[in-house]
Amino acid sequence: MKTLKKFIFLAAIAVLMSSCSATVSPVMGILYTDAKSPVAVTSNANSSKVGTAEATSILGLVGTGDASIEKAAKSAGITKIHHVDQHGTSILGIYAKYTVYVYGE
Amino acid sequence: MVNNSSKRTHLLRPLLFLLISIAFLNNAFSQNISKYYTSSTQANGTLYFIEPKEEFQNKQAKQGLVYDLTYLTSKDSISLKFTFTDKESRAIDSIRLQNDQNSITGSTKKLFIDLKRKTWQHRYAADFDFDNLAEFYQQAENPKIIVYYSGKSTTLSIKTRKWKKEAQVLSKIFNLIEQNK
Repeated sequence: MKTLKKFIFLAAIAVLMSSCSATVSPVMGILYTDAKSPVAVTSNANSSKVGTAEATSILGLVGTGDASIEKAAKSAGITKIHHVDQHGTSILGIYAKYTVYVYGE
Repeated sequence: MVNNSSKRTHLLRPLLFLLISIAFLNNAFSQNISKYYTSSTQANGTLYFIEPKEEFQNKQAKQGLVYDLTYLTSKDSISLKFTFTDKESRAIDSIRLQNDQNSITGSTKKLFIDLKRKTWQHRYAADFDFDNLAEFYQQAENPKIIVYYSGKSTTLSIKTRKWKKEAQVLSKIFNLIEQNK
């Protein structure tokens, strides 16, 4: 019974922690999240360049980075955006990373 | 009653351990290359974007270099975009990837230079032949990256363990691209 209580307590902590360092994702895992998803599509034709930008969070206490579309486009010299994707990673709600991918010319 | 709950907890513990182990071992040790690249189908071919995770460093000069690779299958060249960090701003002319057996050099094009606190971040791009770069990742020896600026140069290196992992992953990705051409 004691062990079951411990398990419930730890599960509750994990659930609470998962909202601490949350990331943007279409699917969420309390223990682990690693998923890509779309953000936007434009009418511009084709892309030959890809740029990324990211932001990270630790324990939901410290969150740093610049995951803007502008930063990602600048990193690859993109002036015409074709489409934008995002990638969210989270481990036990302790560490989370959000990356934006910009495709264009 | 006591026996039933104790049986339940005995079953729960290994099940929980198994679930956590699968989640982490799957990602940590199976060398899933899909997390290192993205691909996008275009009208003129497939666009690959490769993100090597490891940084080349010159610890004495406190310099660092991280790079990514972009390749469109309709072209012969692959674009290497890199961020070179240094305490001084530089006008970078070219970049050389070198190991014991061969070296490849590419002239650079400036994307932007930024100042973050006291560190200058130089973002440049250089084009390399796809086959030459693919061959570079098949070498087991530790490579060096040499950055040339204003008649001077600086050499950045990578730890053997990190290079082994990186070369293995990138060789697999290059092979995958080759198979899909």
